[in-house]
Amino acid sequence: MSFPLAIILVPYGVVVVVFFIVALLNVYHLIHYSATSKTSFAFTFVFLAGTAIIAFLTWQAVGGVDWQTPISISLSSSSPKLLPF
Amino acid sequence: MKIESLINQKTNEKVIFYLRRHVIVFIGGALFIVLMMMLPIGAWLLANANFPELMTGEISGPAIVLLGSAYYLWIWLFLFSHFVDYYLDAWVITTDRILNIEQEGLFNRTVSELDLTNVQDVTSEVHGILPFFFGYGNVFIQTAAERGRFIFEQVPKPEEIRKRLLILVDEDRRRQNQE
Repeated sequence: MSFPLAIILVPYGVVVVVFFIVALLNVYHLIHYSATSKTSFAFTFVFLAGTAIIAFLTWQAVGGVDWQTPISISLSSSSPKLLPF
Repeated sequence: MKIESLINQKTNEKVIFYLRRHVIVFIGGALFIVLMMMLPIGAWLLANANFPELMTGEISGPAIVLLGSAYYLWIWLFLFSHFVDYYLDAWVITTDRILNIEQEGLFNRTVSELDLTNVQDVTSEVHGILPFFFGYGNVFIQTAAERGRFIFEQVPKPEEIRKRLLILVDEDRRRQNQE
């Protein structure tokens, strides 16, 4: 049984989506509850810049990956037994 | 939404204090989060020294990169959430009342209001080395209202707030008696 390496992008994608939802909720709270001061603007800007840096570095690190590389999971009888019985 | 809308400011009401926790409280939590950001670097150095094939593997390499990326995104978001939680907790003292605004997580927000005439006793305390050096502490307000006690937690200059609050309570009572 084998899967393409791209399958590991699925849980990563879920993490990214949840991240953006929670981040948007935080920004909404700051705007809605009159916390729109220089401090909160600066912190939000730093947060967005940091997010962009993490995204860019991730993109650079996985840029040359062949996502079609198969991940094979075999349950053959010739594989060593994990248990002595 | 401006503060006037946030507290439904009345016509002759003036905002005297708009308080948050002392910034050192936020910095303490932020430093811990920054420390958590160092963990993957340490793990990477250890793994690179002992299992170099893990980092360059066709499957393990990208998996580790994505895992590290997800970890950093979450830690970064946790830092931002920590700031929002710190920034949205506030205590407002006006010439007429006290408001206690507490943000608990993303979906819980509690706003309590107390008329100054219901204030019975105000106590300030500074406990500990950091509070002593940075000048922050707690202010306890004993009330005659349904909610027996308001607490201003880790606010800067608690003694000054206590003194000023007692003056405001006195002025408010005089105003009420004249009316």
